[in-house]
Amino acid sequence: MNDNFRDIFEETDCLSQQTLMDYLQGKLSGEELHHVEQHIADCELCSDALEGLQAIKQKEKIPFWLRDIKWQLMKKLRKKNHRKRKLRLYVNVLVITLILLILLFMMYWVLFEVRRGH
Amino acid sequence: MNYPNAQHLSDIELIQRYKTDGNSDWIGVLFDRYAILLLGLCMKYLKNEEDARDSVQQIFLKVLQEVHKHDIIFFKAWIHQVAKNYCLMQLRKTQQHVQTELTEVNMPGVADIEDDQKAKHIEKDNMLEHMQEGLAQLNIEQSTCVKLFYLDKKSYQEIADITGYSLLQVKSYIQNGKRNLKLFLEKFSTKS
Ligand SMILES: [Zn+2]
Repeated sequence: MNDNFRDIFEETDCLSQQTLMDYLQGKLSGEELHHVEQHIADCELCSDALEGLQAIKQKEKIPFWLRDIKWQLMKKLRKKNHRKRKLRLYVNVLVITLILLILLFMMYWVLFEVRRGH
Repeated sequence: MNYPNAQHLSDIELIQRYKTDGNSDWIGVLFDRYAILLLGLCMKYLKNEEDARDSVQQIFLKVLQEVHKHDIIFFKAWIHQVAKNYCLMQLRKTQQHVQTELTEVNMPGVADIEDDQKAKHIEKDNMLEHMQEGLAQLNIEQSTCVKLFYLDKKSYQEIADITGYSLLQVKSYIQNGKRNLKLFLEKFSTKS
């Protein structure tokens, strides 16, 4: 009997999208099902998530929704990254121009001093 | 772009890589890990499919924004908390009153986490000897469900059918029964 209870100390990884979908659609059985439910008993996040997912009416649409959300998020992040790079480029150009200007000024000044020395 | 090893990176490593090279693919991997969980979580609290879908993206953006303000060791617990807080804010905004459930949830404290780590190192056989006693400590609902689940390997649905409890009840009896059992058994491991 005690061997069966060894499971209560086991900690498993969070459930993947595929596993959750299979569970929601009743496609799991036996060992797989037990494994999932064992994790739910342990993990507040997965347990809460499943409770919410079960309330969704058209579960078969979930993967499509997620793909949509991901696409939008990726687009937003790429845009952000683009803006960041642009800004970095402007700053770089500005710094280089400043350095060049200072160098030019110093050269001019040195030349001026040398001439006056003569 | 394809990173064959991206799947093996930890959550924090993925975010760090994103912060270094700005490549959104790293966040894509993170998204695949957590999006469905966040969708479910938001659905549980907001009880509205469209709001839940919108929230998933917002929560990811929030996570990226806030990740450097905190010293995160347990990413899963943290993202769970960020998502809950976000939902709570949404609920406040729409002035619905579903707040009671949310206030009782707290960030896992450092002490809890340390206890968890300690528990792992404990001699388990020693504890299992006291299983019968432990089961006797549980209330009847908890011990029935725990036994059916661990001994007979019944599913939640089957247990609900056998006992007449609802699925949610079965789930919470198992969760609480298991927690109580662990606490009881761990008392013996520290003594010996
Ligand atoms: Zn989990």
